[in-house]
Amino acid sequence: MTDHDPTDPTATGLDRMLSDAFSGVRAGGRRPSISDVQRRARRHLHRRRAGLAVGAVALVGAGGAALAARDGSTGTTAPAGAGDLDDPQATATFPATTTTCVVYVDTTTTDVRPSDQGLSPTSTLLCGEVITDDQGQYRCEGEGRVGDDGYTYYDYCEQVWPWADVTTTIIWPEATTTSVEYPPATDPGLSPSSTVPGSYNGNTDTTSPALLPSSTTSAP
Amino acid sequence: MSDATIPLAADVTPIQVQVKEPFDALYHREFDRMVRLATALVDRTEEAEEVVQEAFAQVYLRYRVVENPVGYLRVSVLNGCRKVLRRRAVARRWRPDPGDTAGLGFDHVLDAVRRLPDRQRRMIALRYQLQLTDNEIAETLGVPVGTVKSTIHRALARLRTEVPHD
Repeated sequence: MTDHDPTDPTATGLDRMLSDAFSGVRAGGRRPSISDVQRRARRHLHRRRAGLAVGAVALVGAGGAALAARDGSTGTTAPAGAGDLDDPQATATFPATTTTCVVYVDTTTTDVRPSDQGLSPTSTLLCGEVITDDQGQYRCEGEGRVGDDGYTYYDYCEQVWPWADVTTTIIWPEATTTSVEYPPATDPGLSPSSTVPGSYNGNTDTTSPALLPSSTTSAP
Repeated sequence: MSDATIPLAADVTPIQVQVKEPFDALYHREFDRMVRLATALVDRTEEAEEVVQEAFAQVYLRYRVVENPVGYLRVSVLNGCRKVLRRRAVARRWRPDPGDTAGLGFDHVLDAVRRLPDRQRRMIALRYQLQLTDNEIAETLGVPVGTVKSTIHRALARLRTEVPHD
């Protein structure tokens, strides 16, 4: 049997019928924008991470319950209020929370990029870390950890500038690992340790909006 | 800038570097093709577009690490279509709804293709919708070429019994 050739004159009637039937299928008229796909992908990632957080809490809860049950079986009573966050005696371990960072456009809190709204990127304030290297700017979440290779690893990073080059923005770690990487900040005025979140522009507050570095606010 | 060619020394073997195309180029080139593929299998444009968008989102998430994004995309679309068809079959089994078939096409050839087992349906769709060769189908689905040939042979034999043809 040889490979299929739709122009083969010896093709059977069924071949032709199949070719005709499939070629008669038309695509819909609407093609969503790339940003729709990116938004959908981000939702996937957030859902996955939320699921992991719930799973981790459930595991901790189940572990705590098992311990409590074991203590109960040996005659030890769990102290009242154990697991209560306000109780300084509470020893339950909770997974570290991840700050959700969003892009602020003027007074509107949204995850839509400013370019989608026709705004200049200079009007953007970012919550979280903004780090610049020779590839662009990245907004990162999670605690930065410097690896043995000198790169800083984050839970999640998204390129915020330039937006068009999506091939360098795909830094999606698997849910249980931190595989985001990029070189340390290239600003000669910053030491290598300045890649720790919140250190860019001297801003050490990772929860407050940080301005984009002025050197990168010009249009591409 | 001149376009001068630098001659290589005799003992230097040139290497070829393959650069992955940007995601948006893949998206613009493949979106309509994938929608047609999905539409042929699920027969509803809205569901087909949903499947394709999901597939592109999956590819986007892994674009940096996936070696063959087009193959990954095709398989994602086929998997999405299978989910839709399975969901539809379960819904029909438990809650027969006369309105469920509204908007579906009446092409008896494609209807017969949709009734094929999943593996046969995938290969027929890849061959006749995307015009892939047996080798390309084998590469996309990760199976030997012989498996592709025999599976398509069985699929066509089955279709011959279901679709009247000359």
